[in-house]
Amino acid sequence: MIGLLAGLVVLFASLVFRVGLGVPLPVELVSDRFLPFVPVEAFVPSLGVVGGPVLAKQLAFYSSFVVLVAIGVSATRVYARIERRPLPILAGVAVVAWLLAVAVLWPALASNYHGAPPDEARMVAAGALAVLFGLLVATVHLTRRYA
Amino acid sequence: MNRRELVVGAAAGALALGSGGLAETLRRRSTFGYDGLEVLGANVQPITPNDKFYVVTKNLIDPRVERDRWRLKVCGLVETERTLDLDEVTSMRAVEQETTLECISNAVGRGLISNAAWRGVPLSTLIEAARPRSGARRVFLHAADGYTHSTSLAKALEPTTLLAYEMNDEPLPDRHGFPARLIVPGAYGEVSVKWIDRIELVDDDRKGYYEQQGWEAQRAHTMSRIDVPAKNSTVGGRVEVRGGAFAGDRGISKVEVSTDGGGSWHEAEIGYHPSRLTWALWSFAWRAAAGEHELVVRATDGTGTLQSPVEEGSVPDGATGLHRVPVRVE
Repeated sequence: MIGLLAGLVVLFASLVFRVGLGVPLPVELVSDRFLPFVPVEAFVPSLGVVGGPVLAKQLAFYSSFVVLVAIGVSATRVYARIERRPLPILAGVAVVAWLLAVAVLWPALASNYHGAPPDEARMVAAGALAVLFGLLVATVHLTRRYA
Repeated sequence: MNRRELVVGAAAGALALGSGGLAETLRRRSTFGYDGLEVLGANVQPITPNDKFYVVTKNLIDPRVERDRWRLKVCGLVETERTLDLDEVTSMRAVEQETTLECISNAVGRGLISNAAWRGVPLSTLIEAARPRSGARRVFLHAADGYTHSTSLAKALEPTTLLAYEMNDEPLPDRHGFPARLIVPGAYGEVSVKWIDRIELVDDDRKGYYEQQGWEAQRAHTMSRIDVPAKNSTVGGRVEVRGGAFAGDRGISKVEVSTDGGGSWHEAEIGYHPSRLTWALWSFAWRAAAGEHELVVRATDGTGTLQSPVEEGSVPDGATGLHRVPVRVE
């Protein structure tokens, strides 16, 4: 249940950032970063496999929610298995994951669906990712310790 | 259930409800309902209404750019980098230009093509004001949604290449790129970048979003389509065959219709073709004999080049081939 809660916190926050600030959802960042590398000869047939572009988008949209919740569940399980100093370890992993995400997604972070200029958009998106990772760690830690 | 489980469960339930509400908000704004919208059939109009204009987008949810936050930057290999807001853009000398756009993924006979009257500023005005450096030879275009595309500096400086902010006398709808988009006649629609926010002059061959995938969109093929009668329909003896033809920025000089599967050809009447940048809407009065027929259409562009009959799919540079419509005449 704690894992579900952690995943839902991250999902809720990512949706708030998208609706309120125009920050791309994680699925939008990932697809914008990597889809251009898929050759068109493979890209078009792959859309056909899942029933066309609209169904592919719906699949990506909804399955990304499941992925975020699954990340919460996984993080909670990892946390539970760490016997000594789990918070610093999980926080350290989260910081590394955030740095990695920012580095890998850097070009896509300049997008903003409300029209923020690219430099500002990149800062806001990187900040939002930091908040998501922070919320994940905080939720797992606090609920396991106090709830 | 103990107290701890109750608290966690209640929090999870509240978050699930909240997430569901936000997800529903995004779903309502999503492109799921209009991505792939086509314009074809008996109701095709010379100017496509904004809400009927075809849409193809990479996005799950298209941008809703806030007017006051939007800025357009002209940068890269220029002497004077410029940043403009929408008021500055709309105060510049504007032109109105009817231009047809077609998606590169439009298959033969399909409707990912539309025509609108665009109002905006020639892109050359913006670029020349920034004074390109001598090494600049391409323009890399950036949009709010992360979309990118390139075009040659020569194409960008053509007087018909526009930064448009109105579509059919209305501000651009969100789905068509509010507050501003490019209109690049002659190229497929993916070059006419929506929600554009940066125009970067470069001296290299960097590739944009779809260009990296391998799409080659700089020159639209000549196409033609039969809208009426519909495929496999049954018609009477006097039939008005109607349809459209388009050749990028080369214009249409002739449309021909065959009623016998391409054995013989008859010239159609072009009823609407205000400029070489738009589609031509044509008709052909056919006195049909009873029986099975195959209607075929072909167009000749403004340079006198006949449309390619070779059937090729849209990958990587747009579809070619003739539209064939079998009908039964009673």
